[in-house]
Amino acid sequence: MENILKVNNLKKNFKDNKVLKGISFKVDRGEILCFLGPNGAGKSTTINILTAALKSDGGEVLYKGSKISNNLRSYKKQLGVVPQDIALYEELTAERNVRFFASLYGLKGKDLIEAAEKALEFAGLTDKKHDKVKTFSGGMKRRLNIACAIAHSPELVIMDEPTVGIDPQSRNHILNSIKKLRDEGMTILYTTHYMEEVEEISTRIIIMDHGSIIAEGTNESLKEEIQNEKHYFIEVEEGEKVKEDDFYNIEGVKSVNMKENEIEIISLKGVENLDKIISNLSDDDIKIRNIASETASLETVFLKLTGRKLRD
Amino acid sequence: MRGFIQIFKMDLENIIKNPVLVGYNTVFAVLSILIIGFLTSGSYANAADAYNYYAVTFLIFSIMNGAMTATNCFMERDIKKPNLRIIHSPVGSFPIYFSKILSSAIFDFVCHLLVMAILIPLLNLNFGGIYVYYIILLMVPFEFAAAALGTMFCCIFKTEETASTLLSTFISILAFLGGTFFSLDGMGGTLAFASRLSLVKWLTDAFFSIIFDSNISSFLPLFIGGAAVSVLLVLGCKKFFKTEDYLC
Amino acid sequence: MLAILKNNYCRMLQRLSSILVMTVIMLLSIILAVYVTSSQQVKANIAVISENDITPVSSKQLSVTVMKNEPPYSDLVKHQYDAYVIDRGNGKYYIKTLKNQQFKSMVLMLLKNPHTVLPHQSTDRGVGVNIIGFLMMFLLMEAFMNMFTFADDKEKGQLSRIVTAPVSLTGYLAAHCIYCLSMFLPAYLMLIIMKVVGFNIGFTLLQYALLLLLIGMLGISFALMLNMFLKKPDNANMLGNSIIMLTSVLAGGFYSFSKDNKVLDYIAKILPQKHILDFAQYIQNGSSLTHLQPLFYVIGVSLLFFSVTCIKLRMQYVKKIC
Repeated sequence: MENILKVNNLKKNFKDNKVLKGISFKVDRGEILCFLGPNGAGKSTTINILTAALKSDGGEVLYKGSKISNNLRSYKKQLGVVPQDIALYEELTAERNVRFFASLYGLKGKDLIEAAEKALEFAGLTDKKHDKVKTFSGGMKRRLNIACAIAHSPELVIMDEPTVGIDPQSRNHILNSIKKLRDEGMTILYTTHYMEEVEEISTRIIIMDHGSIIAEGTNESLKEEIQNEKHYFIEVEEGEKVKEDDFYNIEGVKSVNMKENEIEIISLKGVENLDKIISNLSDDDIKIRNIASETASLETVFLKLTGRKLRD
Repeated sequence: MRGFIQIFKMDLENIIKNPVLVGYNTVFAVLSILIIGFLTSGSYANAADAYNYYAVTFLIFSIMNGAMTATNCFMERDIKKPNLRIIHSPVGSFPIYFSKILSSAIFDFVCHLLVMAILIPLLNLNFGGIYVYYIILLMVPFEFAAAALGTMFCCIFKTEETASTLLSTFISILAFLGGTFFSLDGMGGTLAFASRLSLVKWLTDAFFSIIFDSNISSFLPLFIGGAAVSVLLVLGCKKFFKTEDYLC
Repeated sequence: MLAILKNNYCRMLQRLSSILVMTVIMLLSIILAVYVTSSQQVKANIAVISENDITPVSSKQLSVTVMKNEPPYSDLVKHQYDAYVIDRGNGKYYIKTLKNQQFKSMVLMLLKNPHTVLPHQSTDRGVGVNIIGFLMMFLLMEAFMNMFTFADDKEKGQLSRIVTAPVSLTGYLAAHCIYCLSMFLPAYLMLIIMKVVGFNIGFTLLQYALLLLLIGMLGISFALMLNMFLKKPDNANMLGNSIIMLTSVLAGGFYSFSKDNKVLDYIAKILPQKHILDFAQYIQNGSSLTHLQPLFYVIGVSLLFFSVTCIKLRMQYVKKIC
């Protein structure tokens, strides 16, 4: 697959704080690359450097083999940016907003009008194109926010948390639209905190933390490589009777956590030991109320890599 | 260039659609001149002299207040984010702040011309007859400078509220010292000296000289001075406007 | 209420620069008022055009500049001189001025007899009234500036949260009012310092406290009302400051206009600022206790503004009637 963007050893410092510690990655044409990371991981800084709004303190960003700094204008023409905040002129109509932002990328005349129509149709806002943005719901504004970024048919679209605070229908529409953009050949960089979005749309995932890339791969490969465990959640009636140590004698059991009347058992994948676990409980005459199992999800992968501690 | 024109058109549209800005630059100026002129006309032999004085001083005050149009145009809460979205586009950062300056200056200039066009025939004001063209020409660099000042304040302080508060205070002081509300010339050495420190005073003196003495000797120095100040302020905007300050 | 008050002081810290600038301006306006009062004695600045270098007249009531040639006409227009007096010799003068016949007669009278005691002008004011007049506009503007706490709450949605909390709306508004009023303390402090240093500031500190309280009530209630009715704080600020500036000048804050003008009298009677100045004048004359009407008028107008604000607040946020 062709590299459309290549980032080599990117660094950024804010005073004494090393926000980016030399990250490297590439973006293939036509993929949806999702950035995941806790707050303060460096995602937004990375995005801002890629959009050339922020200068790096080291490293380089190559677009189709050339440094973006060598021909910034040309690079920006191929770039579409969906900012995290809704950045629209509320007193103007949807159509006016799209046409204005598209015109900044060189579109004019008939091309501009057609591009604006297409973008509005893509966003599902054709019926509302003559309405002022201030009358729109949050979901509609988010869709329009995206429409303004793609009207000029960029090769690369960067979306910074484009679905924050909107209803499930709008989010669903946006995610489907993003997949359509990928199908049409656009390359998308996408940052979000919603795991289910990443699981649904991503081609590849990059997980960042403390200014470094800590994991990279597809949804499946991340889960496979990093997490080869199964979790069992067993709800019992008399939790005080449970002897945790006994479970460690069962093959495959890695850890046991007891919380009131719920036992969480982490076991190796591939070792079928549920029958032995149940048998252990019934031998001690402990009644089982409910059993549930969970294989590794992206969220558990993420939390394992980045920890459960709250971030600033 | 085309990108700049698009941004300029958008900025002009945003300003024109703001009724407070339109009112501030037209109605407020006209009302101020009419009311204060009327109130002070009693101490003049000819009432027109009172209107004449305040027409000139309040016109200059309005020119200075054009800085507020620029701060509003640039960073008014509702339009700050879409204005700064342009950072990501290929137009560069210069058009972002320069179009605000230009659109505000043009808007203010047209409003002030309108005020003159209404008041001169209405109150039979003396604006120098044929010399009125010098007045109009002299307004140009100062309209631009005022807009550039407002924009630069926004670039420095990053928010409209702080920029506007400080600017309005600064302009009010300049106006007071310049004799907008009443002349300080006859109020003793200290005040008269302080008055001369104000740019408003220089402009007022120049306007009165041109209108009443047909003396255009101060026209060229002030025009060039105004243009030079404008250039400096635009350079100031370039220095203080940093795109990274506006990123999430 | 205390929590809201504390919160306001925390929020104030971010705007310290604007507050400091305003404080400096008020100090300057007090100093200017004292200076202007002392220079009130001079009734006219005249340019005497004469071949002689000697000043033809020496009077405390006339500022005379002798020159050989008549200055430009624009100097008359911009009040650098109030009149050009052409000395024709033998005590004959030709007076060229833009001012009215009354002024001409006064100048002529002073030229002929420099020690003439002119009748007390209605435009003459004591230092206390001047200080209040000069301070008034800035204090009213300061009230607007400090009402950002309420304006931001309304615009950014905090007000919606406060309404659902077990907080009395009146108490909430009172907290903002108390905060704004406390921001007048620097101005009051300056008056105290000037008094201690030995300047004649016209009124006692208690009298100033009352007058500042009156101005505060007016400014705060007006700011609250305008912010309640206008959606954007920026627009409210712009409009409010314009109205304050215009009405303060109209009311004679900086310069007392002649009372011969009936239209002025009528307009001024409506303006609360005029009533504040009138009350200050009565205090100066020692007759405030028998002329309480201006005081009640200002309090009444302030209460009216405040009531309108409360009603609108309840309608919009409690009963949800837009």
